[in-house]
Amino acid sequence: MARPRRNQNEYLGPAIFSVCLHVGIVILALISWPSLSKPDPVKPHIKAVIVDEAMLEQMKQALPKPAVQEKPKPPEVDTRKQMEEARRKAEEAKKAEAARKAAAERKKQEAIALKKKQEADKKKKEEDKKLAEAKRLDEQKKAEEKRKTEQKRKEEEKRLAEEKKRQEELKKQEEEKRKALEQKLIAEREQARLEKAKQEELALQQQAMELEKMLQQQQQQQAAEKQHQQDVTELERYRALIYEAIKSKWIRLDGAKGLVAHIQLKLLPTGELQSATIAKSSGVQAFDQSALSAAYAVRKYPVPSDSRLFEKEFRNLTLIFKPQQEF
Amino acid sequence: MNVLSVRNILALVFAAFIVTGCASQGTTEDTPTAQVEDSSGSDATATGMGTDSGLSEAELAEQQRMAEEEARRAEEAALREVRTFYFDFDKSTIKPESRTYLDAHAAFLSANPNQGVVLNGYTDERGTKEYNLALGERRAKAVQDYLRFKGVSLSQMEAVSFGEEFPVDAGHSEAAWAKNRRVVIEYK
Amino acid sequence: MQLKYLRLMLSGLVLLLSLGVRADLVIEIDEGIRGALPVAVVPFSNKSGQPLSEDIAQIVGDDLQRSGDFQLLSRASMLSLPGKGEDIYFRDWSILGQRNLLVGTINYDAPSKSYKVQYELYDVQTQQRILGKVVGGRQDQMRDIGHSIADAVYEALTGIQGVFSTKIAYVTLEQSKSKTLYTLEVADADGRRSKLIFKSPMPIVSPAWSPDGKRLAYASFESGKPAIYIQDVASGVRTLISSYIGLNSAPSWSPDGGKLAMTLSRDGNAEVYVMDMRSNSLKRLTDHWAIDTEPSWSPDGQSIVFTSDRGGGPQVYMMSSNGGTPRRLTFEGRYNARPRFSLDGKTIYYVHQRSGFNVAALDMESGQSRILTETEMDESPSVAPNGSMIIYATQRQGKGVLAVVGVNSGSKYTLPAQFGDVREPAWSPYIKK
Repeated sequence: MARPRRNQNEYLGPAIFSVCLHVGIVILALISWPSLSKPDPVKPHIKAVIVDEAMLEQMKQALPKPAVQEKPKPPEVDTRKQMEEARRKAEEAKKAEAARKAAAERKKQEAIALKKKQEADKKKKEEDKKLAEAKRLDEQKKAEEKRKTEQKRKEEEKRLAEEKKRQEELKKQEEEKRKALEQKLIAEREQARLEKAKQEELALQQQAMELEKMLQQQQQQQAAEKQHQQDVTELERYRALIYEAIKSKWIRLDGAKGLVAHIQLKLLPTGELQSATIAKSSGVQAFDQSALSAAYAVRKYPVPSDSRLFEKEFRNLTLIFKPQQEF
Repeated sequence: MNVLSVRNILALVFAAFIVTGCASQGTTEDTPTAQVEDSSGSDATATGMGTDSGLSEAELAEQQRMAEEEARRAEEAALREVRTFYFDFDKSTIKPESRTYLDAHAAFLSANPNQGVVLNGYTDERGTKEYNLALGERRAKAVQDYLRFKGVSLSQMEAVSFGEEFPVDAGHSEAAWAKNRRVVIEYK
Repeated sequence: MQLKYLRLMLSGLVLLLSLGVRADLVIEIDEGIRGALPVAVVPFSNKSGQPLSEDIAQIVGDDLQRSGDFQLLSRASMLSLPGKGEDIYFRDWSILGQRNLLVGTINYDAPSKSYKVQYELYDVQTQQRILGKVVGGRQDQMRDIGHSIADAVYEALTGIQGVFSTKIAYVTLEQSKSKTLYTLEVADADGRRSKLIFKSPMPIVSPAWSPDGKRLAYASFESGKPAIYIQDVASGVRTLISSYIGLNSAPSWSPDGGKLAMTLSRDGNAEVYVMDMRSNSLKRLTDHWAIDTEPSWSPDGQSIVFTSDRGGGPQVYMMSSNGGTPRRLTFEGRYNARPRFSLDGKTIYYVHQRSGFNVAALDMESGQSRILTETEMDESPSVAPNGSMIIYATQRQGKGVLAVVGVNSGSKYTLPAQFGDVREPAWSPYIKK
């Protein structure tokens, strides 16, 4: 179904408006993005592990136990094997030595370490305290910061949320507007459709009315036609009668082919001739004369008794004398 | 086509010769028969009379010849009495029965070149006057041609037509009309 | 869609209806009846104080009756005898079924010593006067006046010029035991007041009027053979035109009167020649061993029709008046001769043989021919100058008489019997005074 022009024009306005609005929104969205810069990246937290005696012990335990010197094995008959064994033993002794050394070193180191550690621990404790303090401060700060950021975030979130909300709101509004427009359009379309339907219905109604009127007219016409047909039949009948009457009285001249004369008759309802005049001459006086004479020679013209038909057709009558053949 | 026409011409010529031969035989036929008859007659009388007539043979022969001559002339004259020749409706052909008499006229006229004749042509009353005038003339001319052919000089003859005029029989029947369709030889 | 169709139907119906709503019914009359117009010619009222030698009304009535176009009311039926318009009681005539009424009065005008004939023609039905005139003349001109009135009435009611004032020329043959006499005579168209033109003991044939109606050409056998003469009708002066050896006959004037066609057989057989009257030069038109005779000119002078039997029997042919190859016109029957053109050049009248001989008419355009006469020994048709009647020679009870037949009307009459045989009629043209 084609949209009526009218509606199309109206739709254009709001469509443009809607588009503009959407674009505006889009633009706005884009603009707000840069202003709303990326939130401060979260600073990596120091992950401080609290070391205590227990843990230390654990750590010790973890250290590999020094190697237990093993009893040398009875020498094997295999010299090579003995050598190898010896070597192995030597190596092992070395290794053990090394290991002892290492262990001693390690112990030393460990003692140092331990001292260090203790010192460290002390320091650490102090540091830890400091740290704790610092941490506390930091944490405070952090908390503060966090709070701040949180706040900020919250604010941001809030803002975002608000923004979002706003946008959503806008969107919603947009949506609503769009919806409204759509609704409007739909409504309009609907209305248009309704209009059209209404019109069509009107038209149909009108048609129906007209049809009915026509039917009525048709009936009337049919009646009139029937009458007319009757008239025509009557007309033809009387026309033929008059034709024959005139023909039998018209004494034709030779060489009259090609001549045409019009005689105007005025009849009375009785069929009598009131008057006959030459309405159009043939140019030959004798021919006109013969036509007039024929008209007068018909004493009584056959006319219908129906006065309506008589008045309509027969009161004024024209005879056209137009011979078709030479004699 | 050419061959055919040549043959035709030859045939015509041949036929003409034959006809001429026959014709010439015809004209001389009449007189010999008469003569033969006469001579036989005179022969009879001659033999009947015997030798004591006193006339010489030559004189007898002369007598005989003169008698024959006389008879011939009489016959000719009798033939020439017939002066009217008839025709069929709208025709100018000479009828066969007319020939004997026409020939007698021809013989006489050709023997007497100073004798003039008028050939009067007529028609019956039917048809139109002027056409009948021409038809009468054609009949007269037909007779004229025949006589000319028989040796009569043109200067001796005059062909005149009266058409419908001067009918012999004023009746309106076939019989009457037949009598009026004629050519009359008028000796001047 | 439906709407449109319905609208169409509606308008159609309206149109149909409107057709019937005209005020004037029109009836076309394409045919009438062939018949004679009823006319009453009332005996003219003689107010001249002197008896008249002629009954003018009778002359008028007879002329009109003879034309075949009128049916005259007998005098015995007349209920009143008005002499002029104001005396007419129209009902006396309408009840008798009359359509036209002629009344007249004759007065004598002493100063001019002439008679004044006043006549009026009325339409009985409309009571309108159609004609009204006064004609003057002497006693011996009464017949002429009568004929002129008949002409006027004829033309007013038929549209065609009348021929009642024209003349006819013809030949009579008087034959008795003691004498034979041919006479060439000229009479009124009704056969009355014949005047001797020429007489001879020998035949006279083919009289032909000059186009001005003042001279007659004819063939005369006075010298023993046919020769063509031209004679002035008024003065009687004769001129020998042609006397060649053989035939000199069938003279025919060209429409302008400058040439004479004729039949001559000087070249051996009957041929058509044309003689120029001014230069006397002779031109041979036909060249055939057959008979070519009875030439006649077409009204426009361009053609000559003639009789020829070149086809075996007499038939009608046509050729250019300058000569040239003739064209055969008649194909029905074995005898067709003596052609004459109609006034309009569209018909040829000629003699045709069936059982007897009749006058026939050949329509040039359609090639159709029809027989015009019921008599049976017909010859020499001659056309009246208005083209509506033909005079010809025929026989009645064994005697030659002249008869007239209407070309389109029912006219058929024989001219009053004369002594002897009458033949060779020639209808004069309208004579210019």
